[in-house]
This record gives sequence, C-alpha cells and structure tokens, in this order.
Amino acid sequence: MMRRLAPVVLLLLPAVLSAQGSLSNQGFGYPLGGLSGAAAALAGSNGEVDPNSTINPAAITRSNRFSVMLRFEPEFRETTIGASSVPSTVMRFPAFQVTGGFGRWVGSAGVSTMLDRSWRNQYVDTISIGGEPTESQLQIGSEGAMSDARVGVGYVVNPRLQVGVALHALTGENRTLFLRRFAQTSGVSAVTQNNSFGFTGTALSVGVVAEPLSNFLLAASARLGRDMSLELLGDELSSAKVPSRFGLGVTYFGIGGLSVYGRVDQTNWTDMEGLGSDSLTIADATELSAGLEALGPKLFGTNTALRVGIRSRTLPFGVSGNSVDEKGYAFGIGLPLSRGRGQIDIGAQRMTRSIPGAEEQAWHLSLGFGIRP
Amino acid sequence: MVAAVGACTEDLQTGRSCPLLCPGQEIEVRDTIIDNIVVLDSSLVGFPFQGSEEPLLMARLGDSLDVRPVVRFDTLTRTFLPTGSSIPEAITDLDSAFVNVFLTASTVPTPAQWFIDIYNVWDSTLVDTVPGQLIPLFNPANRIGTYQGDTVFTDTLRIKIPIDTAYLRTLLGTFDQRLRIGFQVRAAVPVMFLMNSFEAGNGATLQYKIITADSTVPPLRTAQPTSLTPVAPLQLAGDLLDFQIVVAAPNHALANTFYAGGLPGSRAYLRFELPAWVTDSVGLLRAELLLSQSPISGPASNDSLLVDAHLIVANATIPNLFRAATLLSPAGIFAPSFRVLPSEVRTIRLNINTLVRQWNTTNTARALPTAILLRVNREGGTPAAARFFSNESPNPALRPRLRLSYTPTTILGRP
Repeated sequence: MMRRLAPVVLLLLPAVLSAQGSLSNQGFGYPLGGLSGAAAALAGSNGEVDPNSTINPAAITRSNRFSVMLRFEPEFRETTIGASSVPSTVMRFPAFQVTGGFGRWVGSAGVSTMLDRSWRNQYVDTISIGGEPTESQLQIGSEGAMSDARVGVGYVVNPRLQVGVALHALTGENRTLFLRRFAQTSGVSAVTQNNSFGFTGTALSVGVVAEPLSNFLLAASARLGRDMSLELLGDELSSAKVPSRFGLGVTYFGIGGLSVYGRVDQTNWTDMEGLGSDSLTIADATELSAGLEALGPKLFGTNTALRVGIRSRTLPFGVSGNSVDEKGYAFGIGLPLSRGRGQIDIGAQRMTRSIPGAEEQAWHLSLGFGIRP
Repeated sequence: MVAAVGACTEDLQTGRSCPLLCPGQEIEVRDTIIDNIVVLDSSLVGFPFQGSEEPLLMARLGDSLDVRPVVRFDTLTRTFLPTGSSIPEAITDLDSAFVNVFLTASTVPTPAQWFIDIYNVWDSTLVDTVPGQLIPLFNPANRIGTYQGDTVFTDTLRIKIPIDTAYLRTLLGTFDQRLRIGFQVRAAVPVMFLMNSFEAGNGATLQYKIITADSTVPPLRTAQPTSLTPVAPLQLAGDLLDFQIVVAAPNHALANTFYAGGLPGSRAYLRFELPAWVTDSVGLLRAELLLSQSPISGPASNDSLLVDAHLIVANATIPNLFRAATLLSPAGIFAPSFRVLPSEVRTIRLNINTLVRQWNTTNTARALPTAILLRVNREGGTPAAARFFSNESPNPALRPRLRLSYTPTTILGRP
C-alpha cells in the first residue's frame, strides 16, 4: 500500500533542487511540520487546533464541511560561512488534504511532507589519489521526500470535547546521484552511483481538543511511531522507528476578534537512529511557538484574518555533531473567497538557523488554497 | 504545479559552503600495488606478416642493420598496337626505363650522398614465401640500375631509378621472364628511408618508353606491381606485391624481458591474473600497469617510439598466441598509447582503468580476456624496440606490477 502511494506522493509534492550546502537540508531532510497555510503564518502555534494541519486528528472535527486544502511553499535562503554566502532556492508543495463530515464524524485524508530531501551540489575540490593531489568535480544530488500519508477520523463527543485518531503511512523515496569526476588528463576514472532509497513505516496518532473553560481551548496529540525501514533496490538496508511526537496547544479567544495561540511540541527524532549512516547527527527536537490571529478588514463582505507568530525549534539533523537551532517569526493574512467557500492564506516566515561557524537566513513564503464547495 | 516547478532556477555552485555543510560526500581512497599480476608474457616475433609492411623500410647501418624492399612486376606489357592495325607487335626497342619510388626520410639523418641499387631478384626455382632465399640474388650480376642521391631531404622525395634498357628489352622479349626489383640502399654513413608500399598508395611503379616506327604510338608504358605467385592462397600473392627482407637487424631478445618492435617486428603479449576484489568489489579510480624498461642500444634507440596497447579479444579457446595476437581491439580504446625512448631506463605507467573495469567476473569467468598486447606504432618500420622486464626478472621491483587507487564499495547518498 505504502509503495503504491509513493508515485502519488512524489507527484503531489515536487520540489526543485537546491543545494545541500545548507543547514536545513542535512540528514534525511528538512521537517515541514505538516502545517497548513494559515498555521504557517502563525508560526505553527495553532497546529494542535488547525483542521488543515496534519498534526492533531481531533482538530479535523473543526472542519466538518467537505474541503480541499493545498499548499505551496517556496524557500529562499542564504547560508553564510565566515565571509562567504551561498544563496539557494527550493520550491515545495508540502501538503494536500481532503476533509468531510457526516454527523458527528469527520474524516480526512491527506499527504504532507515529513522530511524534504531535495537538493543538488556541484563544486570542485582536491583529493589525494596515489599520493598526488587531484582536482575533481562533484555533482551530487537527491530528489524526493519522506512523506506522511494520513487517514484520520474525528468524533465530536460534545461541543466542548472532540477526539480523533489517525493512521500514518510513511512512504516516499530519495533518488540520489553521486558523481565525482576528474580531469581526463589525470587518468582517474569517475566514481558514479545512482541510488533510490525507499521508505516504509507506519504510525498511529491520537488527539483531543477540549474547551474546559469558556473561550479557552486545550488540545493535545501524540503520534506513536511503529517500525520503519530504509530500502535500496527492494532490500532493507536498515530499520528504526517512526519518530514519536507529543504536542500540547492552548488557544484563548476571549478577546473580541482576537485569538491567542501557544503550542509546545516534542518530536523524538532519535527514534530514527540506525536508519541512516553512523555519522548522522540526529537530535530530538522541542518546538515552541506562539501566535495571534485577529479579524481584519472585510473583503467581499467577509472578514479577513491577520496573523503573526514566533517559533523556536531544533532541527532533527545536525552537522558534525552540532544541532541546528531554528528561530523565526511569521506573519500573513487569510483572504476569504466566495463567501467562505474558498480561502487563500498568504504568509511568510523568516527563519534563522545556526551552528557554530555557520548561519542561515531563510524566507519561507506560504500560499495555501482552501476550497469548500 | 509542474509549470511552476519548471520555471524555477537555481545556482548549483555551492563550493563555498561545502564540504563543511556537505557531509557524506567524501570518498575513501586507498592506494595499493599488486605484484605478480602477469602470469604470462611473451615476445611474438614476425609482425607484421610479410607483405603487410606499410611503409617498406630500406636501410643500411653498417653490419647491424640491412633491410631491403622487393617489388614484383610479374606482368609486363610486351607488345604494342600500331595505329590502324589490329595485330599487336612485339616491343623490340626501348628508349629508357625507370622505376618510380616515393621515399620518406626516417629518424636517421639523410646523408649528403647515397645510392640505391636495384636488382632483379626473380628466380623461378625459389620458393616465393621464403624471403631469405632472395638474399644471394642481390649480386652485381643481377644489378639493373643505380640511383645516386645528392639530395639531403627531410620530408619526402620522389625519385626515378634508371633501369638498364638493354636488360629490360631482353626481359620483355622473353615471355616467361619476370621482373622483381630488389632495392638496396648504401652510403658511407648510416642511411635509412621509408618507401611507400602499393597498399598505402604512391607505391613503386615501373615505366619504360618504347621506340616504334609508328610515331603516333604513345611511347610511355607504366606497370603497376603484380604477383602471379603463389597461386594459392590468392590473397598471399596480393600481399607479396611488395615486401621487405630483413638481412640483418639487432636482436633485442634478452632473458627475463619481453619487447615490442624491432626487425622482424615483435609484439609483446601479457596475460594477467587479477584478484576478484579488484574487478568486482571496489570502485576503481586508477589502475596503472607499471612496466620497467630494459634499455636497448643500437640503431634508432635514441628516437622516441610510440607504443600502442591493445586488448586481445581472443578468448581462451584460441590457445595459439600468434593467432591471438592478431585479434585485437583498436588502439586507444581500452588503453592509451605511450611513448618510450628505447635507450632509457624508466618505469612506464600505463593507465588501464578501462580494461580493469571491463574485466569483471560473471559466474567466476572474466567478461573479457585478461590479456593485452603491446605493439609499436611503426611495426616493421623501425629497428628500435621497447623492452621491459618480465615477471621472471630476479629483481621483484622490476617486474610488471599493478598500482591501484580505489574506493571501497559503499552505498553513496545514504544520509
């Protein structure tokens, strides 16, 4: 089943190549977080209660009309090492989800990018061959992603309590190219290897959204990872666990026209230890985010939404033993269309990532499309 | 979505952030030298086959080198047709006769004065294919002409060597007489020329002017080389239109060595036995066959020699090495050609990456025969040779060895 999903996932979530010579694209790739366009503009702070984010299966009950959500997120970044800076660009379609309700039940199915690993490198270096310094050119790249295909169902126990459960199938592949070639005059043959690494894995997530107090939402979710494996040409190379995740979110909307969000999330990325090579630097990540959403001016008779948020987290894959910290802020606007039958969420996130000796600044633009026919 | 993706551009030159931010892109390079990889080496003398020489060598360097070309004119025009007549008449008188020869200078400087003597070396009692039998025929009684060269040429020269017209007239008048011209060059100092063969174009031709009572008859008759023997195989007669006879030449054979070149030409046959891990289990970066030169002295030993390395495509079902030495891949496909100075003591590093990469095993059998052949580019056209120490050399450091740079097989691209 998961293998059959892979081509669909790759079609839905293409990404043009950028350079791995960046802090965000280490290891198995950059975690997109399963956020919707609206959640991205709030720096992920409403992730636990957002029906279009693939985080809390109980939150899907908050969208009981049939709806389709698609998100586009280009990233423009600049990596600085000492006095040298390298710009690079990546295009992503990180999420697609369909939801629909029937009575107290709401179901959803969607695919989101869990770890995007699309990049390409081209540079020249010198290595010693037979004791002779020999210049070589490297062309190395990876295309593809580890994707999370989720099927979930939520149940409205009562207006103050919703619960949900979802099954996750981790799928996708990384198609890698390794080419190191030498000048013809050196008499050294090229080293080339093309591989296609496949991922399979499963997980179960559960969640709850409650309103214990008036105007106050409390939401929590957990993803319980099961076995996952890394395959090459159909042979299992290694196995590990799908990283487990635990999250807690609070929302207060007691102030007229204003919602305040807070979220803490812990992902045990080290559950993936053993899946990659021994030299892979991997760390558990705690994410903190907060955001504000306010009613904005009316457009076509319906209020827009103004959003702002901040976020801090650790990226799962580091560099040479150093973890990569990511901090940033986000802002955006939600534009209703056709009297609520459609919505466009526009946002931007400014991210700063760093390790000792290197820093990266990135703009993530976000464009979310929602349709409720 | 596809359109949007396709519209994007990127800068791939990421050298400034690599390798710090590009872990896992290094390769481990190991270097090693493998001894005793050559299990069979041999010098196969007799190449090119007689009659296949292109060009023909004409040389005389004292007693150490004496090479003489022979061109056959077995079919001659012996009659002419008078104007208005249908009855041929015999050629009875000649104005002049000569043989046209196209010469190329060799690495031996052309002397200020040199001579080419030509002989009719035909004898119906001799066996065609034993050239040594012709040597006694290069005697004054058979000499039919001499050319005196006073031109110090460095490139090419076309000459006309005059032929004794009385001799040729007599020969034309005797139906079964043939003209097979042997060329011998001489000078007060070493002299060596290359003479174009018929196969290569601009080969030797015979011309003679006839004298007739009818002035309207064109006087000039031109004969191309022809050979009427041997009758079978027919191809051999074609090969023997022109060929060279090695009367004297340095012998480059030496114990515990093999060589390519010399006269008659030798090809060096090398068969390898490689560990399977070299061809099957590692990523090969560079494979160099190290050959230690055994210096050679003598004619042209200080002139550089281009040596071609060929893959022998004959498999083990052809045990005859001479036969196998003719079944070759084109030069430069699997291994590069290289230059040697025959008199030098040097280690040649022959890059055989491509070969070793092709020599992988399938079901314990090599995909390609693990043998190569070395031959000089001017095979049969130079007395010089490239000689190397063989695997039987008492000094292990002089034996052929294989120097490898490789990367152990690892899965690249895994995070």
